[in-house]
Amino acid sequence: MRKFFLLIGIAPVLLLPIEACSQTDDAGLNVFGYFQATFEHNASNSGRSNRPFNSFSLQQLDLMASHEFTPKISAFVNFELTNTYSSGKGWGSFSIQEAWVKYRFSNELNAKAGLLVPIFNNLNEIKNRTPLLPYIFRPFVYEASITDVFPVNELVPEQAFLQMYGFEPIGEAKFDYAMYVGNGDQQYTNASESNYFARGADTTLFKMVGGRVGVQTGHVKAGVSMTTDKENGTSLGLGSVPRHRFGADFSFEVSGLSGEFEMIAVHHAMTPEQTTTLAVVASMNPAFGLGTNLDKYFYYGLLSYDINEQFFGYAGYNYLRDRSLASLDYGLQGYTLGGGFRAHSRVVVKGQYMHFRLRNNPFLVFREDHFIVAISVFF
Amino acid sequence: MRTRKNGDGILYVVLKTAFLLLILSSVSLAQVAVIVNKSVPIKSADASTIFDIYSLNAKEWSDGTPIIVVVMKSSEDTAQKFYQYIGKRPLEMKKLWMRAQLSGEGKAPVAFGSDEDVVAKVASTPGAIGFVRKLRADSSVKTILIIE
Repeated sequence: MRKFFLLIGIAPVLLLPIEACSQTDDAGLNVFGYFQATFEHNASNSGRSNRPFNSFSLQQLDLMASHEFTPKISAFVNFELTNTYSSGKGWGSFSIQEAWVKYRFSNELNAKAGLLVPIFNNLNEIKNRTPLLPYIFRPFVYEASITDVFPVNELVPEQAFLQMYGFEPIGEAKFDYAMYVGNGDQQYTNASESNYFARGADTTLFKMVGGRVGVQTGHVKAGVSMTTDKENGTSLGLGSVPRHRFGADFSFEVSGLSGEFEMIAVHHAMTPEQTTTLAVVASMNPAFGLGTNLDKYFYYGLLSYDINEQFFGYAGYNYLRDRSLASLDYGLQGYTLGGGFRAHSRVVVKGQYMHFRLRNNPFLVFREDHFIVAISVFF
Repeated sequence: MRTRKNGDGILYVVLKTAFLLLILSSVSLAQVAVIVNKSVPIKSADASTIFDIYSLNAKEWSDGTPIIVVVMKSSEDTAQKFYQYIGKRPLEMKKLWMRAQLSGEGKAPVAFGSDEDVVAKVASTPGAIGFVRKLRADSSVKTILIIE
């Protein structure tokens, strides 16, 4: 089945019309980007910090370049730096988020090849585009600055290398689709010297395939997404574990009021032996805080309102349950409230209040209150 | 008495004519013309086609010429009327263009501040499309739609 998807994906790229490649129309290089600088006050006495703190940070800086060789062929690159990146001081991270070339056959069929962020639900593809987001601190699984706390790639596919997508208008509605293929669990391709995860492993049999189908009509958009790959459970003695991500999204925008809602369920098809092994490992290593299985769930909802062209406000909720960790098996809740002011169409001042807490956990109290202001600039 | 009546009649006619001219003038000013470069191979377009073009879904004309979208600053009445016609608010369109650009799917159009600038840009750019007050659409461009 996966070979079939792979062949379907690769075929159009191999069949690019020769004349399309020989066109010389040149629209020039387009260089642009954005950054978001923040000031955060963490008013918490529990959680990650045992005392309140204040901090400035350059949460994110993205540099992008696109080039349209012809109306049909274009290329795009995106470099991302997070958390006041400095290689000298060891702060933050630098990464190549995307580098792809696209061939546009028609609205119904486009092909991207190279490193890309695949379409999964509504937010995944634009999760790092801070100028598009009303909030500063994103929902748990999408926040680029805390990927060490919540491993994003376990809930959503962060990378793919080949994607076919397009849309077909039927009457008033527009049906869209995407399907893609990439590497499986990134832990399989870990090349560090760590002995915790297998390094340099052959991922031939561990490709990730996935896709989304959706519909958009008027001001409403909805879709369902799915990926399938294998998670590396070697460190727990589980070997590889088949993993299926399921997603659903719904969004609308009517007269300045917009809403977006998402759910993600990550199911691991563990064998009875793997379930037993995990239970044994968990009982023998209570300090690891392991849960009973590897499944994960995420829900997110946001309502925002454009008061006018300049001012907007929003309120949202997100919830993460990670059954592989005992502390998160009860669920982590996040409430948020905020607003912003568009000083210019490309310069936005944002404010946000967030409250996080572990839900009904009798063993661990975790509550955090954050106040953040930010300036977001798209240049 | 009769003279006064005649004088009132003349004044009435003058005022009525001025009022009608004012109304006609304001109607013409309010009408928006969607214009394209003369090389563009279409003669007319409907709201759906215009929306596809302005939402950056349509990338090229039927002869393969790239579509160059030109817009007027959203604070202008013409722009407000145009966006109302295609069923979107200016802010929605800005978000849509920003999303397209940040996803590598297109480039946000450059906004001009006056009808004259839009006409000049469309007239001088093969494949360009824009919108202006109907009165400002001259013979240097092709009008494909009038929004009443």
